[in-house]
Amino acid sequence: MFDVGRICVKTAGREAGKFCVIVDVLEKGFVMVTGPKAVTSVKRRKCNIDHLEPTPQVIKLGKNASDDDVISVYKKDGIFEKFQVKPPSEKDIAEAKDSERKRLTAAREKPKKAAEEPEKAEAKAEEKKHKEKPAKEQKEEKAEHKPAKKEPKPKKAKAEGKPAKEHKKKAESK
Amino acid sequence: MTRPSQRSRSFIKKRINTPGGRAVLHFVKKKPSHARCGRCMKPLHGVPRGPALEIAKLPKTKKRPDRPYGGYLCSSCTRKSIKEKNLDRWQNV
Repeated sequence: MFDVGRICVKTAGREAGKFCVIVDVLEKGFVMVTGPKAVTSVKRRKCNIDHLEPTPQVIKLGKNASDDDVISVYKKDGIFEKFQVKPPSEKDIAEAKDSERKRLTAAREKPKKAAEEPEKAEAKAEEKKHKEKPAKEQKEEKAEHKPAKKEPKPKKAKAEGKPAKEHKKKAESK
Repeated sequence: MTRPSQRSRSFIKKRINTPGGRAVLHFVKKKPSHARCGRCMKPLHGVPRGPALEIAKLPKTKKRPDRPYGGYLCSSCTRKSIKEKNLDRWQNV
């Protein structure tokens, strides 16, 4: 029933009552689904079969077909008229693509930042030891570009500082 | 003595022990009833209950679930209604 190309109606969540196409069949009980977003505002996402209601309508689609392909097939088969949905304008398609791109880039950038931080922090610390004044200037410039990275450094310094003090105290008490 | 306006059944009488050791009656307005599903009459999840003024101050996303018929039908009833609509549509065709 839930094969690639089957048009379904979503029954759960904020997209309930809107139709979508199955693009890929994933592990047991899950499928990849898309509206596309420009047409019915259903994003391309993994979806549980329990949250889908199948319709008798099936279209010919390749596996993992892009949103543009899906829209062109909709136009051929007259899906817009059958489901009484306006065909999307070029502006709608561009907006949907833009929002998707932003979401993806945001997801990619987060893990990168975390990976770069420790290396840069060490490099900055070394510069600080050799030349105090120029290092500070460089730091300010970097801080202007990316203020988020400024925070983790003092925390680390504190974290390194505290245990050392504790050890000393313990040694004294002993 | 209480105010005459407080001698009403719409107030709950709450017994409170004061820091001085006295027991005092406080008159508190009753809470409004739960929001209920229009189809199965079960209490709705995600719809707050309290004085109207305080609920008016809440943002819209905290007043009802973000779903078609959110705040009017429960989730199982919306699912049923969507499935019924879908069936009706394709039976006629």
